[in-house]
Formats: sequence, C-alpha cells, structure tokens
Amino acid sequence: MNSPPPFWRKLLSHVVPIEDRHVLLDEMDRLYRGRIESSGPQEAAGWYRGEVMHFVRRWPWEWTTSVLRQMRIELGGVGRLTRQTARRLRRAPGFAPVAITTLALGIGCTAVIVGIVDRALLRPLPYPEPDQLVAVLDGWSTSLGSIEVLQQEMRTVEVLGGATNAVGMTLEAVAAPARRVTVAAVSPEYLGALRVAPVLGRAFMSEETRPGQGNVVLLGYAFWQTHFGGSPAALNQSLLLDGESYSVIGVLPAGFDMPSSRNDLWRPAVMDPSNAGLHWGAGNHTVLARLAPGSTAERARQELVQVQAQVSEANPLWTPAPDAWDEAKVTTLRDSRSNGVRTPLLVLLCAVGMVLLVVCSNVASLFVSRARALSRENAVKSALGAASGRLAREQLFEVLLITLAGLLAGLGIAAIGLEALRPHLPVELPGAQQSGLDARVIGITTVIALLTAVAAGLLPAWRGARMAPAAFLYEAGRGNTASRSRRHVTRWLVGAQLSAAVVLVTSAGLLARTLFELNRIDPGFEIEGRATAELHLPPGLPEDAEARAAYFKQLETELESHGALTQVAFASTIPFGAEDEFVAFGIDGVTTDPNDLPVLAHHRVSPGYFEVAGIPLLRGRTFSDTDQPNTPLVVIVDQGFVEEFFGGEDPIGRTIRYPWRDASPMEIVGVVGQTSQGQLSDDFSPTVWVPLAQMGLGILGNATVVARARGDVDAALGAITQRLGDFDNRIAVSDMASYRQLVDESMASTRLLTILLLVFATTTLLLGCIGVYGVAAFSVRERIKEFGVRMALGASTAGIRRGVLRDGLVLAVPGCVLGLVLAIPAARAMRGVLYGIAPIDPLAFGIAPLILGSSAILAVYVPARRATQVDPATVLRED
Amino acid sequence: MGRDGLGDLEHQAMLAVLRVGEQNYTAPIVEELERLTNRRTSVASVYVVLRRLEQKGLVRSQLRDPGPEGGRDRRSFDVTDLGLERLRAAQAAYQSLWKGLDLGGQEGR
Repeated sequence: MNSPPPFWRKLLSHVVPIEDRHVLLDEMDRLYRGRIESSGPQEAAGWYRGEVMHFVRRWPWEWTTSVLRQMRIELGGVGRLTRQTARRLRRAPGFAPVAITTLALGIGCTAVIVGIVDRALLRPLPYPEPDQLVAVLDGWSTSLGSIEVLQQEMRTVEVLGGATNAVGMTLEAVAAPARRVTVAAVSPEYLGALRVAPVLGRAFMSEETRPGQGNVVLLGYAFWQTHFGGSPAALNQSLLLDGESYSVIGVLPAGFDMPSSRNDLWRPAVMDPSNAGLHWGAGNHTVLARLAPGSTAERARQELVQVQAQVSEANPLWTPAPDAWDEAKVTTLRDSRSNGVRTPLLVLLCAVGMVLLVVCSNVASLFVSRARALSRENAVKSALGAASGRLAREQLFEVLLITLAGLLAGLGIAAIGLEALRPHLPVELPGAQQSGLDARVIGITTVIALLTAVAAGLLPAWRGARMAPAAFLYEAGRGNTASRSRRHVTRWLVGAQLSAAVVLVTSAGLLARTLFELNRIDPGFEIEGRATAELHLPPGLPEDAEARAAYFKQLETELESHGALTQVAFASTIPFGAEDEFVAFGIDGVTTDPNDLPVLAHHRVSPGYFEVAGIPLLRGRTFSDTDQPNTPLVVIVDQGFVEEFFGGEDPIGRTIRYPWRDASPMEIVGVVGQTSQGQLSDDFSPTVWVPLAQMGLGILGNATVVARARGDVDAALGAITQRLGDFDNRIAVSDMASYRQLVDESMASTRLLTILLLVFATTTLLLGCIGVYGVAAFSVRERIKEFGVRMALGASTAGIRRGVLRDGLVLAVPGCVLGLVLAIPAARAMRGVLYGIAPIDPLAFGIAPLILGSSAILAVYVPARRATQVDPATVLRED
Repeated sequence: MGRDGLGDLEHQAMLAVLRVGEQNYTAPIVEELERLTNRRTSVASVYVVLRRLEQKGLVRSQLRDPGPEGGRDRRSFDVTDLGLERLRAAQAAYQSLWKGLDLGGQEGR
C-alpha cells in the first residue's frame, strides 16, 4: 500500500543514474508516501508515474554522462581503464585475439561490400537535385532527330539531352605513336541537365552543335592529368582526332562518368537536320533529362508515349511502328545506371550480412564463455564488496575495447580488400573506380560494428552482471556442467552459424557451377595461343580496294616475319572483340518481306582468318586470295545459319544479299562451325562471314589482327606492337589481348561474384566449425570427470567417442537442414546470375551439407579423441 | 544566462537547500520548492540541477547516514562558499534591478 506501483518503480530503477540508484529510489519512496498522506493513493500513483516519465525523458543523456563521470571518478581516466582491461585480457590468452580476428573478418568483408554497394546503389548521384534526373527511353537509344522533337515537345522535363556512348577515335600526337581515345558526343543540354560545370574553361554552347562548328572538346579530368599534366595551358590547345583538329575548351570535374566511365573526351553532338541519314539514321543516343519542378517520372512517361506520334511524323526516313515506344520507360537516372548490377550486389549484400551474422553469434559465444569465466572472478570480488556496477562497467569496457580493435583491423582489411578488388570491378558498376574507404563508408561500418558489439557482447555482459554472486559461486562450486540455459544459448548460436554457412556454401556452389558450365562451352574457335589487337588505321590511306588490300598484305607479311608469330589474319570485327556488327540480310529463296529481314552477326575477314582462329570448315571452301573486288562476290555462313534458314540442307551455291536496293547477290561458298559472339552465356546466333578484300572494313574502319603465337602469347603481343610501330606509327592500337583474356573478361563479373561468395562461404564455414569445435571441446572439458567415472566403470573408449561425436552432430544436423531450407529462396533470388543450371541444383544443394557435415565431424573429432584419452585414475584423484 | 549566471531553477534550488537546513536531501528540497513557489517541480529536474550545480562547484553533496530515521544512506546537499557568493551576487543584481520599480503587485513579482 505504501510502496509505489511496482512496474513504475522498476522502470525508475533502470533510468536513474546508476551511482544514485538507491538514493533516488528511496527519496522517491519518501515523496510518494508524503503524497499518499496529502492527496490519497490514486493521486500519488499518478504523480509517481509522471515523475518516472520525467526521468525516462532525461535518461539517455544523463545515463551516458553519468557512466562517463563514474569512469572518470572511480578509475581515474579512460587511459587507466584501458590499461587495466588490456592487462585482464592478457591473462586470458586466446580470447582477445580470436574475438578481434573474428570481428575484423566480419567487419572487413562488410566494409568492402558496403563501399561498393554504397557507390552503386545508395549514394545520391553527385549532381544537384539528383532525384530530378531521369533516363528517358531507358534501355533504348534513339536518333538526334527524335531528341530534337522531344526537346521541343516535352513539357514535363526542364532540360533534355542526348549522348552517344564511348566511341573510339584516334588521337595523333606530334612525336609519339598515335593512340586510341574514347570520345562521347553529347548535346549541350545533356551536360546542362546534369548541371555539371567544367573545372576549367567553359561548357559547350548551343551554336557548337551546328555542322562545321563542333570541333571543340572538353577533357576528362584523368585525361587532362595524364596528357597535359593538369596544366591550365591545356585550354585552347588543339587535338588531332581522326585527322581533324579539335580545340580544347575546358576540363570536366574528376570522376565525371556520364554517359560512361570509359570516356577520355567529350565533344558536342552535331545537329544537322539536312543530313537525314546521320540525323535520323544513327539511333545511338541515350537520352537524359531533368524533370520540370513538380513533375514526376510517370508523368514524363505518359507524355513520352503521346509525343511518339510527332516523332514518327517528323522522321523522314521511315515511320516506326506506332507501338515502337510502348515499352518506353522513364527511370530515375540512379536506377537506370544500377540496373544490371543490382542482383549481384544484393546477393553480395545478403552474403555479407550472413557473414556478419555468423561473426556476431561467434563473438557472442566467446563473450558468453568469457562472461562465465569472469563471473567466477567477479563473484569473489563482489562477495568481497566490489560494486556490481563497477564490475559491469569493466566488462562493458572490455567489449568496447575489443570492438574498437576489431573495427580498426576490419577497416584495415577493407582498405586492402577494396584496393585489390578495384581493378577487377566491372566497368558497368557505377562509381566502381571511386569506391574506397571514405568518411561515409567508415561511418556506416562503424555503426554496423557497434550494433554487432551490442548484439554480441553487451547481452552476455549484461546477463553476467545481473546474476547474483551467490548463483555464480554455487555454480562454480558445483564444478561439473554449465547451466542448462547457457548451454542452450550457445548451441542455438552454433546451429544458426551452420545454417548461414550452408546457405553461403550452396550459393557459392551454384555460382561455381555456373562458372564451370560457362567454361565448358566451346566458343567454336581456338582460345589458347591466339593474340588479338584492334588497329585503327590512319586517315588518308588509299581508298580503292586494291591498294587497301595491298596495304594489308604488306602488313601481314611484316607481322609474319617476326619469330613469335606463325600466322596472321585480319578481320573487321571478331567474336568477343571490342566492337561488333550486325546486318540485315536477304536470303534468296528464303526471305520474302524486305521489311522483315533477319539481322545477323557479320564479320569481314581476310583469307587466313578461319585457320588462324581455329574455326573448322564444315563444307565448301574458305576465302582465298583470288576473292577480289572484280571477281564474283562470295560469302561463308556458319552451321547455325544453315540450320535456321536451309533446314540443314547444303547451302553451297545459294545466294544472299545486303538489304539495300541494288545489292548484288553473294554466293555461299563454304560453311564453318558456329561461334559464340561475345558472351558465352548467349545463344549462338547465325553468322555471316564476308571477304575483307571484297567488302572493305565497313563504317567502323577498324581492323582487328588475330595472330597465332609460336609459343608465348605475351611475346606474340609484344611482337605485334613492335612490328606495327616499325610499319606505320600512325596506326593506333587498342584492346591488345590474348583470346583467352577476351573470353575470360566476358565472364569476369561472374567470376568476381563467385570468388567473393567463396571467400564469404569459406569464412562462415571456418567460423561455424570453430563454433562447433568450441562447443564440443567445452562440453568435453566440463564432462571430463563423468568420462573418467564411466571408463573406471568399464565403458569402452569407442562408446565414449561415439557419444561425443553424436552430441556434436546433433548440433550440426538441424543447422544443415534449416540452412538448406533457407538456401532455396536464396537460390531463386540468384536466378539472374546463374547459367546452365536450375536454381535448385542438386549438385550444389547436395554438396553443401556434405562439406558442412564432414567439417563438423572433423571439428568434433578432436575433442572426442580427447575425451577418450582421459586417465580415470588422474581424474578421480582430483576430487 | 551567461556562463557565470544562475538559471532560475538553479537559483531557487540553492535557496531551497539553504532553507531546509538539516533535512538537505532531495525529497525535502523538492517539497520546499513546491511549497514556496506554488508550482509542480519534478524530482528529475531538481536532481539534475543539483548535480549540475555540484559540477560547477556551487553545491557539495555526500552520502550520509540518515540518523535516527534509519534506512540506507541518503545524499545530502550543501551550498559551498562559492555558491553563497553567487547567490549574494544574484541577490544584489536583482535588488538593483528592482530599485525604483513598482509594478503594483503585492510582492513585486
């Protein structure tokens, strides 16, 4: 009757400053009793509740300051506390290093992934009001003519501009070999929409989009640094690009990567409506806009669909079908940029979350054991009169110190990891090259680390501190087995770790299988011992076909004369090359509608190409030096073509032609094997090969050299560079690589994802096994007397060993089963990054529990052996 | 209120500490404040103010045996010499501010 409401009193005891807990509770009791006398119990209870709430509101701040105050008062500064804690930790060797390493691993993995994901998905784009930026016709590209119409008609956007993605151009220098640079053509509104301002000089002006006035360039920051040493004198200098002079008008800010991070230079997109072919024919511009104030992406999309009729009407070349833009999308620029990388990044984020979970539960187990070890010590101290608050604070400080050390080590791991990873990150990953440990990533990681510490360390510490000393002394005195509840907690934690490990091992298994399947695909050509390089011929070479052919023949002889190369061939484009060409073909006797022709992969190659590339001839003949511009036009098709258009029948002697009106028929003279075009995971597409001598290099104007190495491919690549320089140093070379590299690069993202997941899976597996080992070893140590007694009574060592093994496996089996169940949705979510296997792949799902099971047995085996090596006499004598 | 100045509640709490004499514990101080200012005052704010005054060196506290009443130690508060000096300065400041003013109220509030 005379004591305050119990719940509120209890609450009060938690929110008052720790050092005055009893004083304040007593004072409040007195005041409460006074209230009852003056105004009755009901009034008093209401008053009490109100007072407690006053404390609750002040609690967070007062609590921290009072703890800090106490630390300062009682322990004479954090320095002393640190020294004391360090001394205590030294007395328990093993604990601190294991806890810190485990935390560092988890935090390090997390920081690496957070650093990448933050750049790609979370961080706002580095432009003013980034949410207003949208990709119009996301996933499509369109012509400058269409963009002009959109600029005039769309009201939902403030500024709208287009850009072509990285196009290669040859930069000629006075005294150095020509080199390849990538140049984006952007409309001034494109940079305007992004509101990006040059760090030096000026942006494009609208008159610079007029024909003949667009010979100006903006330098990328990195290009400015490497090419002009970051000197302001770069302004107004001229650059010779593809034989034309361009004047430098400014430098774009560091890290500017629109439309692609590959660009070195930006030039204005030239608007020439009088040249219908260029203005309407080249549909290679991506469109970006800044929404008008108050508008939304959805409203812009609706308007886009309405405007398409006007675009069709304005287009002098053809009338696109009315539903051409029905799929039209207006996406926020951020989503558009991260579109292709979201699934792999989310997979990684989930994976690292699991690693963290495992780390968390592992460290929690460590702290639980630690708290148990300390509690005996503390129980004695406490019984001797030490304040329980102080003991709890000491333990809390220990947790904080270990977390801090783990955090620092983890950030170190992350810094090294990110540095090592950066060169391998795919180009299409937004912000990949800027990813690093900046304040933001460190901040996020620190928060995660502190949460980990709270979850892993504070709970056991708090539980330890709250237990009455008598209970500890009792438990310690009993000296046999741990309390049931504590053992349960540890077992649950280890089970959870094993589940997470199963999920990760399964996921990594799925990816490894994908990689294996990809590697098993035969691309249809020889990968090993082949060197390739893209050549960009200088302007001003003779245009006529014969002279051009003579030039290539000469180059071929020059290259083949080098000892490192056995045979050399040229092609306009090659499978897995930097560029590709797809052309519509009419097939005589097969295709009928000129508006519905198949679009096929198309390569122009020199006679020796098939032999050099190792593409097998299945029928007929390959090209020869006699296929010249003045002889009948010939073509070679691949087996896929034969099957698709001739039902597998012999096509030799049939004819196909280009889609233009007066195109001459080209006779099929040979059939070669199918080749993969650029992604091993893509289906083979029917391919047409034409002689370089008859068709020239095409609009790309580039030639790719493919060479068979006599031995080392690197030596062959060096030989190509050297001989090309000797031959004509105006030829710019880019994309030098062995064929193995080209094919490997096409799998780079999958491989990277696999490696990261394997690292995470191995980490969790290792931690999980340490957990199993820990539990088994601990229980063996606690039951050592029991084993001694049992053996004295005649139990066999095999029986005891079996018992311990069984105990350990009882732990592993439910964890594995739960892990397999959880792995199913995880695998389904990964569907987008898998190839050649079903998400529920029996092999990956079968092997994960096998690996886990055998690791768990191994982890339990050591303690099981120890259990059998007990000498009953020694054990019993101890009592 | 400046760095050296006293907040309203600080000022009042110190006066209350002086008024309660031997019974200089939190509960009597709160009661005294409520009685004389005729206002609800929360224990939390009084306690926080007293500890803050202690940090400033204006009040000193110690745990003391409550004497014949029995029970656990209670925290008692005393105003230090520095605290007394501050109170006198505040009083002087108020007095000179009030000099020559008459707002017509009974107690000149």
